[in-house]
Amino acid sequence: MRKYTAGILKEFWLLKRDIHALMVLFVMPSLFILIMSLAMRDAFSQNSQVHFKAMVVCEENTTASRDFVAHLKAIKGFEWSEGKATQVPVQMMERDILVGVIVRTGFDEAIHKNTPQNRKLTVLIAPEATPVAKILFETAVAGTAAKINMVNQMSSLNPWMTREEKEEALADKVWFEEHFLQGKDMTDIRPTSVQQSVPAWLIFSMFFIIIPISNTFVNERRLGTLARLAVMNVSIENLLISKMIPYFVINQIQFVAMLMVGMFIVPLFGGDALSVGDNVGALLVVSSVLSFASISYALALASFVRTTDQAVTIGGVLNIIFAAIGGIMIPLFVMPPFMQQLAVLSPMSWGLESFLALFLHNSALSDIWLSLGALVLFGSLCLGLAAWKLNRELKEAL
Amino acid sequence: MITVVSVTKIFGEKRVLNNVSFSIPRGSITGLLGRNGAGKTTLMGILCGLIRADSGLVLVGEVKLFENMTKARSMIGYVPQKTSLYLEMTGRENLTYFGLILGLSGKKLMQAVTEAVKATSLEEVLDKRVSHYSGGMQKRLNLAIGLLGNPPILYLDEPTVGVDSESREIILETLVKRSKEHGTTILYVSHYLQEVEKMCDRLIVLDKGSVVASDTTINLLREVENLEQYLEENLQK
Repeated sequence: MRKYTAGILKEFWLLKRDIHALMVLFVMPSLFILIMSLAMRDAFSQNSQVHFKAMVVCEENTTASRDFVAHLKAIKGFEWSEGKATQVPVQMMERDILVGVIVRTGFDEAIHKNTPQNRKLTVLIAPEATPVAKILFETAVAGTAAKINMVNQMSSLNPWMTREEKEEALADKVWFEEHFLQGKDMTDIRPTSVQQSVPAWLIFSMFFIIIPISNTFVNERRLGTLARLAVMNVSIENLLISKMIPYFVINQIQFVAMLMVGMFIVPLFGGDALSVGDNVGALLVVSSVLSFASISYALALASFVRTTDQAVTIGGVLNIIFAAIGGIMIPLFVMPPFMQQLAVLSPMSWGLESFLALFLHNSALSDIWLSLGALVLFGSLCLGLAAWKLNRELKEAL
Repeated sequence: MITVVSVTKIFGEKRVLNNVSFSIPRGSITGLLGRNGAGKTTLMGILCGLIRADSGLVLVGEVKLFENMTKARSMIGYVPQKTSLYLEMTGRENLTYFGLILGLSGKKLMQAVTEAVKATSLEEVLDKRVSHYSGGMQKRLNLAIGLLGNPPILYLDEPTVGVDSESREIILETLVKRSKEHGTTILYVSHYLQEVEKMCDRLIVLDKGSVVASDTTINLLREVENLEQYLEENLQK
């Protein structure tokens, strides 16, 4: 037991002097969480914070065209401006607007005659518009035109229809109620960018435990300290476990600190507050399993490289690749299907999926056993590899 | 105190140690000499229990090394050639860590640290980070760790390589004092013949994995006037 205490004490002594590593473990993820939560806030927002800049041009002054423009401009998700037809391509080139619609002369007549084939509406889309923006805009234009056309048909059937009745018919009516699922329960908790950012950058920083671990471990191998410890009856199991415990504690402090950043710091800058769901015990299990995987991976890597520079470079590059394909840097739902399938190769993705399941779906551990099992298996393989390499190396250490 | 009987070690096709036998009496300082590739490092690895011999026997006191490794190792202090230290920790922290590893604690640990520091004259730099030490000071701390807990046996692998004359003197004095005052059995690997001649009671000369000479220093010097020349002429090239 004293050997474990000594090992843990030693790792803490070394860690408290490794300022750069502490910055990477705590400051880097805090900043990433703050920046990415704010940067992606609108992409996740369920209210009208998403704005595509749009221009409407009305070339005729009729009741139908005025109603069309008024109701189009009332649709959420666009930031409208009005102008002339010649301004639309100019402003698109200057990237002042993303989409535009021109109401041509004859729109009123086409509405009255119910002849949509006359094409009196011209929709213009900038090349950089995403397919989502294009579909959203075309749906808004088509839906508004259909509504104007419907009211016009109604008033031709009922010539005594008043202006108020027409307005009532044109008014937006919400025919559904909206809930967000958490597991099988319907709740009003909305998914937010901070719920993606906190687990994503927490996992990323947990894997950067490679820096302090390799700083110590590579030197222990290089300077023959491991051989000296072996002569002092320190076993490889003893050595690895006494390394894992302090870094596990560091990982758990990271976990709590990043949750705090999401819950209390991000809202101070205008972002949403993190909602962690009800299953705190399961969160701790995920965090512990992730910690086991990331420390074992760091120990395996640090067992094979020759210098700390190699460890930091190779570990850093691998971490970035794991993060890029694992949905850490870019949320998985934004990726095309084949990239989403590729994510299964990243241990960071297994951790992220587990956290998101707990945050967004209030899942139980039984729902995420596959991801957790994969992390445990990955960690065990890495740890086995580290033990095998150390055992082999000790024989050549003198 | 240490008995090696017919130890053989083969790596692949190469017979690195060939039927090596010798004994080291309690309280003696024995020098282990040999060219590069003579098998000194492998022999040191076997004596520390880091490498298993293919055949033969190693006794540490009455204990068979490979049958009761933990007990045998508990009698051994090992000072590797590399300065196996934690450079970002202070001298005191290094000594405390290795002391705890050896099972010392409380007053015993403090006393052991104090004694080791005094023996190696490191009092003034004890609370400085080891990365700020000179090469000689690092070697002295390396030795101080080996002295912790007064092990009855001390193996030293070229402890004075790259060390300034002041530190070298301190290291050699410390070892002689240890042997005389504590009865510590010391096995000392070195390339510096003058050092070995001056300090060691006994000498073992290894060449191509075999012991070619094993006697007291006095007897060996009686046989040959110039030990360096003798070794130069008799060791296989």
